Amino acid sequence: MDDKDLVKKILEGNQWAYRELIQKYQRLVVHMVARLVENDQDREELCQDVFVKVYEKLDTFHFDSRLSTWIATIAYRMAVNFLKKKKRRMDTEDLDSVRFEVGQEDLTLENLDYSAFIQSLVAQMPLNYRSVLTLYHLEGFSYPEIVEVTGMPEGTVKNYLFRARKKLKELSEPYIGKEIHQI
Amino acid sequence: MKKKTNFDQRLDVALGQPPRYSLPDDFSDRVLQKIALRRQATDKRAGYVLWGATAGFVALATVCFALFLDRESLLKVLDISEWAVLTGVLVAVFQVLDHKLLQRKLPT
Repeated sequence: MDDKDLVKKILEGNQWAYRELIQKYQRLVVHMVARLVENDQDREELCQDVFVKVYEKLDTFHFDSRLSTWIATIAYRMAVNFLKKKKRRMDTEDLDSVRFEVGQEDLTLENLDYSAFIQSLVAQMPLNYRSVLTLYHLEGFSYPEIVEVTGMPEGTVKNYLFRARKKLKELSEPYIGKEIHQI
Repeated sequence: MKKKTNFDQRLDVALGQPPRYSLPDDFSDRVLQKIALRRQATDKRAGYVLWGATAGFVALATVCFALFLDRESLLKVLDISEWAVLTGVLVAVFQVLDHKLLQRKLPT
C-alpha cells in the first residue's frame, strides 16, 4: 500500500492502516530520537508522542513533501523541544568547543570497533551536527529535505556535514591512520 | 569529482550504522492506547465546553426573555435585522464550537 492510500485509510478511521504506518516509519523516528535523546525511557516516550502527533495532524498533511520528510520534521522538532525543556546538550552549538572523550586509552586497530567508536563521537557532538549527520547518512535524505526538516539554510547543512566529517576523521585518524596509509 | 578514499568509505559505513536502540514489540499497541486515552480526555473536555456553552446560552436566553417580557419589547427582539451583528457573532461562535469540538476528526 502506498503512502497516499495509507493516509486515506487512516483518515477514514482504519486502525490497522495506522499500525502499518507506524511499522513503516518506526525506524526513521527511532533513529532521529535515539541520536538526539540519551535516556531509553525518554526515547520510547518521545517516539510514542511523535506518532500520536502524526496521527492528530495527519489531516493537515497534503503530500507537498514526502511523508517520511514530514514525519522526520515532527520527530526532530519534538526532540529539540524535549531537550530544550530538559536543558540537556543544548549549551553549545560550536563543534570546536566540544572536548571529545575518546574513551579507551588502549584503543588499537586490533580491538577497535570502528562503527561503535564513530557512534560514540557522534553522540558527543552538538545537536545540530547529530541531526544533520543522522538525516544525511542514516536516512539518506537530500540537502533540500534536511533543510525542510531542520529549518537550517542549505549552506549551513553542508557546512555542518563537512565539519563533522572532518572532525571525525581527525579524531579517528590516530587509530586507523596507519591502516589507511598502508593501503 | 574527488574520488572517495578508503577512510571516507569506512566513515560512511560507520555513520550509516543505526543507533543501538530498538522499541518494544508492542510499540504500536502502546501508541494506539495513548491515542485512545487522549481521545477520551478530548471528548470529556469537549463535553464540558459544550455543556458550558449550552448553559450560558440558556442563561442568556432566560435573561433576555425576562428583560423583554412585555409584548412590545419582544416584538422588537424578533425584528432580527436590528440585531444582525449580534446574530452574526453568535452564529460564528457556534460555527467555531461545532467545527472545533463536534466535527473534529478524532482517533477511532
